[in-house]
Amino acid sequence: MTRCPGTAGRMFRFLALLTAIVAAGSISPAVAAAEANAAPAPAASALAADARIDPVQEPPKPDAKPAESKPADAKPADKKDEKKEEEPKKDRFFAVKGGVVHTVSGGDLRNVTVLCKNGKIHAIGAGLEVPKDAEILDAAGHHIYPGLVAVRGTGFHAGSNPDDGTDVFSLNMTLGLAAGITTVLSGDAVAKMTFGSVEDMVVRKEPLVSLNYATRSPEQRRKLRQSFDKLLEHIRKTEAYEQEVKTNKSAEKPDDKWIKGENEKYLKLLKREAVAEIAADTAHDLHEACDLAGRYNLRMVVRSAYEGWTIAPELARAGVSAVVTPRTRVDADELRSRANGSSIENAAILYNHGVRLAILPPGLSVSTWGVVGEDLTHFNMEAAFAVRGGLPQDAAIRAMTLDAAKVLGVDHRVGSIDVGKDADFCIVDGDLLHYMTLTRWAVVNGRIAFDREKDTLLSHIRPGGDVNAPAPNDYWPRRLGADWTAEPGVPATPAKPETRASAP
Amino acid sequence: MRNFFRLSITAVTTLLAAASAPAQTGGEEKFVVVKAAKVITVSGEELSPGMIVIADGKIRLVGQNLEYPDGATVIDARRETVMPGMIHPRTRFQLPAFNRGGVHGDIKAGDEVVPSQVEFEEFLQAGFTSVCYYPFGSGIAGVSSVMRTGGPETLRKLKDAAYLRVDMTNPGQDKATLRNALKKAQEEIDKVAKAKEEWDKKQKEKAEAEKKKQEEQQKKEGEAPKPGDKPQPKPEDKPQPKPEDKPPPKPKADASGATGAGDATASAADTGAVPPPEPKPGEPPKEGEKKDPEQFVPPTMDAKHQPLIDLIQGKTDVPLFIELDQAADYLHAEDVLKPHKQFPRTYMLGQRLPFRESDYDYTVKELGEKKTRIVMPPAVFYLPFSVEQVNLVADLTKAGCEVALAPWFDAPLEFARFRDRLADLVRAGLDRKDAIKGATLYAANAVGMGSRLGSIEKDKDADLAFFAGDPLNPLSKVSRVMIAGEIVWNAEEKK
Repeated sequence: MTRCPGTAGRMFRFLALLTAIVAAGSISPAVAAAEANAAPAPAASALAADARIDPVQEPPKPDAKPAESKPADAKPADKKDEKKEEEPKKDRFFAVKGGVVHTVSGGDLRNVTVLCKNGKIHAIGAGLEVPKDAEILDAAGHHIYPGLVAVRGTGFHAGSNPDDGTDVFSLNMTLGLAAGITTVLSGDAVAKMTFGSVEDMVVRKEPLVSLNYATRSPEQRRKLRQSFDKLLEHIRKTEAYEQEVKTNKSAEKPDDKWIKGENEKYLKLLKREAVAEIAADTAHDLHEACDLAGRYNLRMVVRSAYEGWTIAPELARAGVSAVVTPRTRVDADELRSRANGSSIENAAILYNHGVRLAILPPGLSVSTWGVVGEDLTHFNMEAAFAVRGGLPQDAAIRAMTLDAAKVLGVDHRVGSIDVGKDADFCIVDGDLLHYMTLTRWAVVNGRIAFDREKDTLLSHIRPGGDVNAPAPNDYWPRRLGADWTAEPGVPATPAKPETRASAP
Repeated sequence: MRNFFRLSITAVTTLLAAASAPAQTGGEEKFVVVKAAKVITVSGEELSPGMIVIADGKIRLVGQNLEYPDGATVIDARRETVMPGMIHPRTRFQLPAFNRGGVHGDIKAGDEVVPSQVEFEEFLQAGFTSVCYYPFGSGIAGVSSVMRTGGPETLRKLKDAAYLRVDMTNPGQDKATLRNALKKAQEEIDKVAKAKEEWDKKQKEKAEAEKKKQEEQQKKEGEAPKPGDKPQPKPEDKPQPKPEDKPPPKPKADASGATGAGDATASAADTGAVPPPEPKPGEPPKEGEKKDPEQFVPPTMDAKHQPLIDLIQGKTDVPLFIELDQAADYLHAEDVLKPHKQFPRTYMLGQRLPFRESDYDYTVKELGEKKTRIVMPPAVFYLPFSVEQVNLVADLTKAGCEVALAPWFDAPLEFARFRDRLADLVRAGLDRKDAIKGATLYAANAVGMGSRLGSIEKDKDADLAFFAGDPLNPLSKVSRVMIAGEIVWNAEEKK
């Protein structure tokens, strides 16, 4: 693709090495694993460079040890997988050939095949032997990115229970996939856009605990801190009890019946088992959030931190991740003595200080109406805004993939193209951050969930806006009277829709 | 034409003896003969002209040149086309609506229908001879009942349980309802299996004790006792071992008081709440040991879950009738029923979106591969958010489904318009035969009456609709309707 300038040059240093490893069939997600397994440092004392801690320890990581001659079928412990194994099922293979693979965790790979087995990436390499019954997607001339991760989105899944209620053929899901998004935090669950399938939809439930820590309500903040103090006291008592019970059997266990509801969630936060999410945009709010994170040693995500650039070092020291909307524009108040207001350089400055970033557009839905380009329909353009402000391209892409997955604590499943991770790809016809780039295919769990040429709404859009480009091979959806049982590949004659008046 | 008939009639009279032979042996048989310009048999070729010989409400012969006894009533329909009466596979015409959720497998829709309160004539004049009333409500509302729209009261009821209606139009809730209902049904089966297991154990121990006692007696008396000595174990007689004898070993502390059958079941019912890890669901527990004088009385099962219990045990062929609103609902339904692939099931493809939009297009292939039985309104649908039309009925049929067609909603006007809608489908690419089958034979299959209704064949019921012309021509009206060999509705009389 001539339009694609390629990603950061330093990635190419890995290319030769990785290709060599891959050819030997022993690719391992070493880069990702090394980073993901970095021990969480005490937040308050961590330096900026070390502060990119993993927000979640709870989910197991894919097997990071180098695989044998054949790549191990890394399976993270998952309840659904166990269920599946009850009935012997034929392995479902899917392979993406051709195209440039942007692994995000490692580098860019050319001339490789990504082989997926049962919805997981099974092997990446040149000259891989692809099983005969594999579904093969020829993505030559395209760019294969991991499916994008939106750290919040609405209208994609059923609210309370995505597994049960989601309309998996909905227009919203199609539009989300057309924007390249394959994983989204919908309601309380991180769920996938499994178009046409209700299997393996939910990745993780309740990844974030929202805290209301608004500056305007000091009373509320005091109450929250009081709850935290009470719980900390409880944790101390419990630890003391655990020590004492070793010698004294009659030791009294501290009462924990009152720990339910909110308190139960808070306890998880204090034990660093969950991630706190705070809406904080101005420097003052951000400062307060950092203070809270430091005081109670919390893992924290701040949302819409548009003044983050003014206190980036503080955010970095507190080990706080930030969900930013780079295009946000808030005029500076000239009467203030300190730097304030939004900056297009916000994301870049935060990144340079070592704050983990996730990017979100101002609108969290997808729509075919409203202000064009300000919602998840143009997710990639939001990252392009950040690049405009100086964020490196690869960092911008990470903020939509791997780093976003880390913010949600699902980076063991999604966010990069690595062996053992889910086979979620967003295959685009150019540079991901270019405004003319469109998603050609979206793959979720090793199934083609979106094919632009077969879509009702988008199939008429020709690559690169070329109106003279040939029409899609398979005229789809099959119009009235068209013989859809015809062999695939045979250009179906666009059936002239019969009008109701033209009776025989 | 007329000459031809006259000829055939005269020829027939000479051969009467053969035709009326069964009449002499089995009492008086009532013969009715229909002579029509055209007979659409549905199962076979169209006959033009055609003739149907009906004996006692059942079709005896179908052909062009048939023999019939002298006293037969001849219905002259030589200007009419005869077709099997249409079947409405899902209606609630003139029955009240109410809110009811949860599982109600014990409810039969037929019990709600009071024939005098329903204007069945609306069905008759549209050409429907049978209708299937469904129970109202979400969740698992109950079983549907098939009945005729006319004819003598005694012949009205055709089937009490045609299908078990399962609502899946709101999978966010309905999925859980069905999942829990299946779980409960399995628990009920396990409960009985466990009771049986315990009962068996107890019987075995009892028999052993008996044997021991006999051996002791044998030792004492020194001679073999008669085999017929075995005590009749009535509950009252049970304390057979005399007080001085060694009492039979008690099976377990909890069942110590159990001596009779009634007690055994009671104790089993008490413990039956906990399902055992290894059940044997396929085995009907009632037919255990026949030789044993004592009968095992299984604990009562929940009647509301009975249809599901029967399905799990493979005892019934009453299918699930799963109602959908959109394509995703189908996937959700299949998701719940994954462990129960053997369940017979019918899908009702309803629609929620306005303007006849529907996305079932996505599932056509899968439905076809499974040869799914489908009930749906006869309409050309629009793809969602587009002006493109798809003939889903034709696509599904082509893919391998059996598509029964049902009027869109319960209104006389819609019943009357039903054949027009069939014509619409044919115009949009559906095979004419499939359209007619969808209204007759496939609809009969969908309500489990395929062996009796839906086509003009030997031994099927003589439920026929007469049309003034081609049934798919909107101008041709229903002229007569026959049910069980009797004309029950005649357009001439209604003028």
